[in-house]
Amino acid sequence: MTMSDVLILGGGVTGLSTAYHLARRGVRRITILEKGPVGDGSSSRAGGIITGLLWSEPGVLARRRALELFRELSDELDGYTFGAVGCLNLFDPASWPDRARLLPLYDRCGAPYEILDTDALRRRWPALVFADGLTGLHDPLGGYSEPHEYVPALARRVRELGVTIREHTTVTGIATAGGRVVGVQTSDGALAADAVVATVYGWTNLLLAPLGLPLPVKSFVHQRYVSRPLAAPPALPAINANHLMGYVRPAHGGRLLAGIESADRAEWRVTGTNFRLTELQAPPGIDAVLHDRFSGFVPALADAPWESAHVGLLTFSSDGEPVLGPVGALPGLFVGVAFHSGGFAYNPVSGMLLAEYVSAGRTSIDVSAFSPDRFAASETAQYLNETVPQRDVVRRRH
Amino acid sequence: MASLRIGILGSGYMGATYAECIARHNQRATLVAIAGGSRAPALAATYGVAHLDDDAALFARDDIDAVLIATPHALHHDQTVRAAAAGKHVLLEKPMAPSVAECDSMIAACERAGVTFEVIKTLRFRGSISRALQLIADGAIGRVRMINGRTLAAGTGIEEKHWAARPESGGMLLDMGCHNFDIICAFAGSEPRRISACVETFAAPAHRRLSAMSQISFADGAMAQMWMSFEMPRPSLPDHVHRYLVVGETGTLDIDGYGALALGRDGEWREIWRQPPIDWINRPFEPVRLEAFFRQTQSFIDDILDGRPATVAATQGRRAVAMVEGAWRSALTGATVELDTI
Ligand SMILES: Cc1cc2nc3c(=O)[nH]c(=O)nc-3n(C[C@H](O)[C@H](O)[C@H](O)COP(=O)(O)OP(=O)(O)OC[C@H]3O[C@@H](n4cnc5c(N)ncnc54)[C@H](O)[C@@H]3O)c2cc1C
Repeated sequence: MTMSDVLILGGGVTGLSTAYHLARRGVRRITILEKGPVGDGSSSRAGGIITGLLWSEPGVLARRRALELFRELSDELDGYTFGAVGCLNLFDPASWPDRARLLPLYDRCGAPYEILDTDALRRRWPALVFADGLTGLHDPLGGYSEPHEYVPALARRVRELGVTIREHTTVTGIATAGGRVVGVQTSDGALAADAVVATVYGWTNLLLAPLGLPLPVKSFVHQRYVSRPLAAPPALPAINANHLMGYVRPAHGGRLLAGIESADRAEWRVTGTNFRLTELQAPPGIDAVLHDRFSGFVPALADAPWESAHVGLLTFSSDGEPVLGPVGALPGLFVGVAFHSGGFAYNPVSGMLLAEYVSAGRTSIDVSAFSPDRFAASETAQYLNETVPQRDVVRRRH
Repeated sequence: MASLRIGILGSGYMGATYAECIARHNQRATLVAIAGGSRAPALAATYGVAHLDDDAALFARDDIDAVLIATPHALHHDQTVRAAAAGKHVLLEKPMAPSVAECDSMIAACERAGVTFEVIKTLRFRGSISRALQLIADGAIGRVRMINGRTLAAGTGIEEKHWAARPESGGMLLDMGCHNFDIICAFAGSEPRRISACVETFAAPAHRRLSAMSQISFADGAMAQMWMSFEMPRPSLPDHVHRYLVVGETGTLDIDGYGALALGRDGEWREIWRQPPIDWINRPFEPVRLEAFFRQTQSFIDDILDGRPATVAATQGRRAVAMVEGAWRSALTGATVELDTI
């Protein structure tokens, strides 16, 4: 039986980043097991928007590091450039007071921001139409990544660092003995390892529930669209337009990328390991709703119909925060999942933190609040039994 | 309490060894019952004590004050925590547990229950090593500065089907490394601060972590190296199977764990003592082998009956496991590991 020091399950951005940071720390025998090609999950479908201005201290501190790491990777990875355009978070008068309460947190954590009233917004981005009463919270360090650049570039780098990526290898179970993880079963036979890191996102409970350790996580269908190239692409940051229930950002080749929530849909239950995101469909007509709504905000979009659509899953935990770290009940098992709608934004640091947990047993940023052990088994069981509509999940963007 | 009433969990080679000690040799102790393992009924019959179906039955007995746990490593945590909850004192075979997290939880459980918890480290009680420790305590070589240890063998002696060869048992780095690290700390007489190590398994597919080279620094400035391998080409090094050099300010100890103990001081070497040969397989209950085990069980019994502090406290078992974990983490990344982070 082949022996790895660390097996990483899932070749999305979280798994790739974990492998990258483990390899950078000197770990030699690292294997990623991915049931499809690399990036077959949500990672290649993401909008790739990132802001550092989240809602909890560990989140803000972790994102600050993620923003640094995106910039470092932008230098290091061939074929990937971080879109350092800033990130603008927009709030209507009803939602702003809640966010304003978080400003002391940003000050304390050293996360820079700018507050812009409607007039200031209009002066700064004249190509956009801001409704009266909007407040802008601008993150000068935010921006975006193009997943179709980032994912293959990171996978290439990870291979260069000596990591084995086994595509088209499905993990069918996590092997335990004597109360600890000793490896996995795959479609290709058993593999032994000292540590197993599960970064399988929407598929997480298919591997954890059989161990009696399900997590209270739920997935929802989400979709984003890319326009045809615009004749005169306007200058704009990555924008979380909360009042429009969506987001928009510049995209490659003078295009725009936008995404929107579909509040009326129930959760999506992933019932089998073989499930692929290609089976998902956006709600009928949502592309037109998105186009209408955002053309009013970004008039340049009006003449540029959607060229492509991507549909994937967003996975949330019951309290809205990521689930990341060692599983106390099963030494040797680590998980990283449920990054609300910001798993792409988290990935450079979620991988770093998982690598630190695996190789050093502790992290350079205190993310104990993300521990998988924070949920009571009874609450998890109850949460998993309920059907949660999308409007009821903790509404947190990127 | 005039006599400590003891139950044994585990009926393998070590369970049988401790049963022989307690039933036939220890003072102020009574063997009451044995549970666990396929050989338990026969072992209980040998000593005319009760055979119980499982650990729960043992913990439930009112006529048992203390349990000696000699089961596979992966069971140690669960059984210790449950024994403590049942109000039993615990003497636990090494390694204390496969992870430091488990050690911490076991120590906490025993503290909560107010029971004595000691860990078996029989090498400390073995002939040449125990005499070396006494010489160091008596100042024979001054303060210890440098230590070199070697445990080298051509094989583990463990069959691939045996539980100790299974991955959850932590490999030889845990099995033997916890002994080596404990002895090195006992020689140093100081707390280990940092460890860096290479750990490899060059050959045998079923066994893990068979070879390791570690470098350790101590709080008082002492330093140590430990080389462990169970994959030496035959005939290996018959005279160097388990050997330590301990260098102090004024002298050197050359300690063959199963041979001679020599003291180099004042310009000359002197043989202090020589271990008579042990026949591990054919005559396991001869005093020459049993001595070290007997001395450890007697210390545990006396500690409890006389209200003395623990001879081998559980925190020292934890320390050895932390060094094993530190060595593995260091091997994983090549970085030096600060032991207070574990
Ligand atoms: C339309 C859309 C837009 C988004 N926009 C943004 C955004 O702007 N910013 C942002 O930060 N986030 C965004 N997200 C969220 C982001 O995509 C995810 O949070 C992130 O990609 C999660 O990465 P991951 O590696 O954890 O999971 P995934 O990329 O889903 O990777 C999991 C992998 O595990 C594999 N796998 C599953 N089960 C097994 C098994 N048993 N054996 C082997 N392999 C297995 C899957 O094939 C998959 O490749 C968006 C998501 C969607 C759908």
